[in-house]
Amino acid sequence: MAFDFAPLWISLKTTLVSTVIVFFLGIGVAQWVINLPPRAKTVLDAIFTFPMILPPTVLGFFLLLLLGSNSPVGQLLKALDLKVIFSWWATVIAGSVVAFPLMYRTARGAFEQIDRTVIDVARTLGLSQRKIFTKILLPLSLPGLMAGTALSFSRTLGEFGATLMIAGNIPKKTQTIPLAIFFAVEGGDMKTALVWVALIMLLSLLSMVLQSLWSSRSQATASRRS
Amino acid sequence: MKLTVNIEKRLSRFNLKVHFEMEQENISILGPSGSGKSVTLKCIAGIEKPDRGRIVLNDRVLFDSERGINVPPEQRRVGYLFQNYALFPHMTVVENIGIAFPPHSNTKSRMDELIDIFQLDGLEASYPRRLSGGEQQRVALARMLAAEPELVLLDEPFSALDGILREQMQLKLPALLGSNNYLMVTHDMDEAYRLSEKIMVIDGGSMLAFDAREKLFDAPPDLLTAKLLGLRNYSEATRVGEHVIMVPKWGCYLECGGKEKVSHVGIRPQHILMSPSPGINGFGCEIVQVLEDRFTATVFFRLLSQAREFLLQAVMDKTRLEYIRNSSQPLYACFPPERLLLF
Repeated sequence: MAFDFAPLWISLKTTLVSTVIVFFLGIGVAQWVINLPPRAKTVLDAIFTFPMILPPTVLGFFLLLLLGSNSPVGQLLKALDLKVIFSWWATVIAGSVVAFPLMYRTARGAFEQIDRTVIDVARTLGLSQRKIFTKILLPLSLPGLMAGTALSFSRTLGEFGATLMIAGNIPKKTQTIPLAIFFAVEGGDMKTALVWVALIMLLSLLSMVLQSLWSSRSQATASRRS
Repeated sequence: MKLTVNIEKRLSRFNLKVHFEMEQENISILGPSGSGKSVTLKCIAGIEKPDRGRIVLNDRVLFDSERGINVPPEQRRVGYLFQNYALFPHMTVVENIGIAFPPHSNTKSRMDELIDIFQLDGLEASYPRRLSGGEQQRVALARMLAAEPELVLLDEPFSALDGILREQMQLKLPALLGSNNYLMVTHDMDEAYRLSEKIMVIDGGSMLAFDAREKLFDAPPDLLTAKLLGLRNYSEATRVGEHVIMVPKWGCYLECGGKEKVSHVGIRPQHILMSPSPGINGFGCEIVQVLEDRFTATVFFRLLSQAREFLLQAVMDKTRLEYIRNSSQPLYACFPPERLLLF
């Protein structure tokens, strides 16, 4: 029997889509929270960080409650004739939810380490909010944002618990590499499991090498400036 | 240029309350750190929001709490020079200046002009971290003027510079800013005096005085202001005759005219004369301690007549110090009547 590579493509697709979603969402939310009054900031910060400290299975359980057919959201999805639970999109939702706190927190940290007076002076110079964001905030926080992206990528790639809870283990549909490994081992197919383990290690290694190449390049840029 | 400010803002330790007008002149706000002077500048620039009041610049209402107006900083056209200059670290000198040009301006010729005025030629492609403090300040000033502000605010502009460089920049600044009037915040009295026509004294969020610099230093309106402006010798006093006041703590009567109701008298250390011969208002004294600078000395002394133990101080040049030290005569401290400040 030919080796089934479906889990690889599903994993890659899920991870890439989740990372893109989390990238924009994390930056947007971080930017929004930073400019809130202190109290609202503390509360929202706790809420957005919460998925990070919950066990993935618990997170999956809550997502199941939220998206299941008995919840308002589930009813809405049903009315729109959208089936999310146990579809491929469920893997993306699980991946995004577990990776979001990582991106959000690193983005927030990256924005907060920027000297406040630099933003203030940009405003007095007449720069629009949009220009301040693209020309000053983004370039100055880029190393942090990239680190957050790499973290999110690795986290989503390895996601298991929440995915299993809301997406299940449907071959060629929702079975990602971590699920494939678990069920191969469970079925006593050590050979298949080993292939997947090797592949996922390779992917993780690759993302690490890319990240360190990029950071050494940005360090070179930084040293040109100092 | 005309600026009207009348604002109130609740801060953690006190309420800030300032009101003043500024028209074709340079003004300094002088006060100890944490007195609310920087917050005042930030309110004018729009970086901070006052609780109440009104700010009007050249007939444009920038802030009016009653009418709910609060123009954002990017539309105020108020330049702000930060203490640390706040240059964009990822941009070269030219990029730092270039980003501030308003749309539709002739950027190329204006850039050349600014590079020339602020002596930045050769540094165009440098990043801020490579520049010296003075160069960074010139870039920040050029960038501020590139945005064509209607008013320039300077927040402790020289505190990051030292020695000779500070003096050079103090000398050059008015010319560099050209026709732009500025409102400067500082805690340095000499700086305020050198660089502005009028000075506002502020402490604990309240305006204590606002006047022409000469008037403010020659005749401070009250004792608190005088103390903030460097008055070191002061004491309670009462008028006992038309030309005489009594100073119990100093144990002496001083000859002086002036106002009728007197609660305190003061004299600047620079105005006390020490000499081996008693002059008018001269009293025997003994030197307790001397603080020597390179060219001047601060002499701490007590009057022989004074009852309680505390020190007065006088500042004199070193030759004078040598002279009185070498004289074997008894020493006198003289308080020239025209130099006495009465409160």
